[in-house]
Amino acid sequence: MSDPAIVLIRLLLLLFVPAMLLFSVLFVHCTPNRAASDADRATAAARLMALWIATLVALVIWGACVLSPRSLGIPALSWAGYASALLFFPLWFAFAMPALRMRSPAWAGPHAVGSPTRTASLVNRSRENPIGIGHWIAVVALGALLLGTILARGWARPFDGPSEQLRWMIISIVYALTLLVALGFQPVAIRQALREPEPLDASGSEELRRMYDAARTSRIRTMFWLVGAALPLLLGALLALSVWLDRPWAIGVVGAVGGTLLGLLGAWFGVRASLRRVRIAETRARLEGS
Amino acid sequence: MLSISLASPVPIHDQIVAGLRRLIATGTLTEGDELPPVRQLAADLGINFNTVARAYRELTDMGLILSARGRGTVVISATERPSGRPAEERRRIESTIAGALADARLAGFSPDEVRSMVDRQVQALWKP
Repeated sequence: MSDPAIVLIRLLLLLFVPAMLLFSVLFVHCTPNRAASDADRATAAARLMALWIATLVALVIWGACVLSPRSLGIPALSWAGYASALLFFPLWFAFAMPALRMRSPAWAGPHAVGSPTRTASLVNRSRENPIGIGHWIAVVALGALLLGTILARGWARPFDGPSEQLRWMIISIVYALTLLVALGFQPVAIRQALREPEPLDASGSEELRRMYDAARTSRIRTMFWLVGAALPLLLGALLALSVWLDRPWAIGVVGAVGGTLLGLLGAWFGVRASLRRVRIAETRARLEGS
Repeated sequence: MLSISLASPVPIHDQIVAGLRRLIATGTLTEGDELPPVRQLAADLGINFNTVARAYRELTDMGLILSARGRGTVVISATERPSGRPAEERRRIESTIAGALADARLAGFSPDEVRSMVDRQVQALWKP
C-alpha cells in the first residue's frame, strides 16, 4: 500500500467507476419527460426502470470485483473492477438512449422531430474544417517525437536481456501502429462529420445555421484533439516512460491520472454534443411550428 | 429551399425533380448556381443517397444541371432539352394543364378563382 500508484488507482476505483456507472441513470432522471402520450410516458417509465436494474447489476459486478480479491485472493479481479467502468457504454447506449428517446423525441436524431415535410437548403454552404495544417503538423511532430524517444532507447544503452529487448521492439511497433491508426482515422472521421445531416426549417433560419456551425466545429475539434491527439500522445508518453524509466509507480500515476482525465473529458464533450443536438432539433421543431 | 413530403403519394425522387425544376423555372436557381452534393442533400432530407442521385440524373437528362467531378453539380440551363417534337411537347403540356384544371373543378373552384390562380403562377414564372 505504500506504492502511491496503487493508492491512486484504488482511490479512482472507489470514486470514478461508480460515478461512471451511475451517470446514465442520473442523467435520464434530470432530463425532462416530454413524452407525447400516456402510452409513451408508461414506456419511458419502463425503460427508466430497466436502466435502474441494469445500473444496479453493473454496481454489483463492480462491488464484487472490488471486494473479492481480499476474500478470494485473486488480485487480477481488482483490475476487472477498474475495467468495469466500461459498463458505462452498454448502460448509456442500450438503456439510457432508448429511455431518453422516449422522454424527448429530440434525442432520436435530426429527422425525428417535426412534420413529415422535410426541408433542405440548396445554398451550397461551405462546411469548414476547423482543423488546419498547423494542427496536424503539431500532433504529427509530437507523435514522431515520442516514437523517436521510444526508438532511441534501443541505441542509448544495452538491454538487460533478450526479454527486455523484445519488449522494447513490441512497444515500438505497437506505438507506431497506434499512431498511424489514430491519425489515419481522423481525415475519414472529419469528412464524415462535415457531411452529417443539417436539415433547416422552411425559412432557412440563420439561427439554426449558426447552431449547426457551432455544433459541427466543436464536434470536429473534440474528436481531433481528444481521439486523434491526446489519446495517442498519452499512450506514447506512457510507453516512452516504460522503456526509459524503471519506476512503475510513475507510469501508473501518469496512466491513471491521464486516463481518468481523458475519460472524463470524453464523457463531458460527448454529453455536451448530445445536448447540442437536442437543442438544435427542438429549435427546428419550434421554427417549423411558428 | 427544397421541401419534400413523406406523407405525399408522389415518389420522393419525383418531388425532388419537380421542386428543383420549379426553382429553376422561377429563377430562384439560375445558370451557374451550385447545388449541394448528393450525399449532403440526402442527409439533410433524411432520405437515401440513391434517391437524390436518381433525381439529379433525371435533371441531367433534361439538360438542366450538370455534375462534373471536382466541380460539383451546377445549374447549366433554365430551358429543358426538348424530349420530343414541339407539337408533342405542346400536347403533353396541354394534357397536364387539363388535368390540373379538372382537379380544380372537381375541388369546387369557380372559373374566376382558377383564372386568378393561373395568372399568379404565370406572373411568378414569367416575371420581368
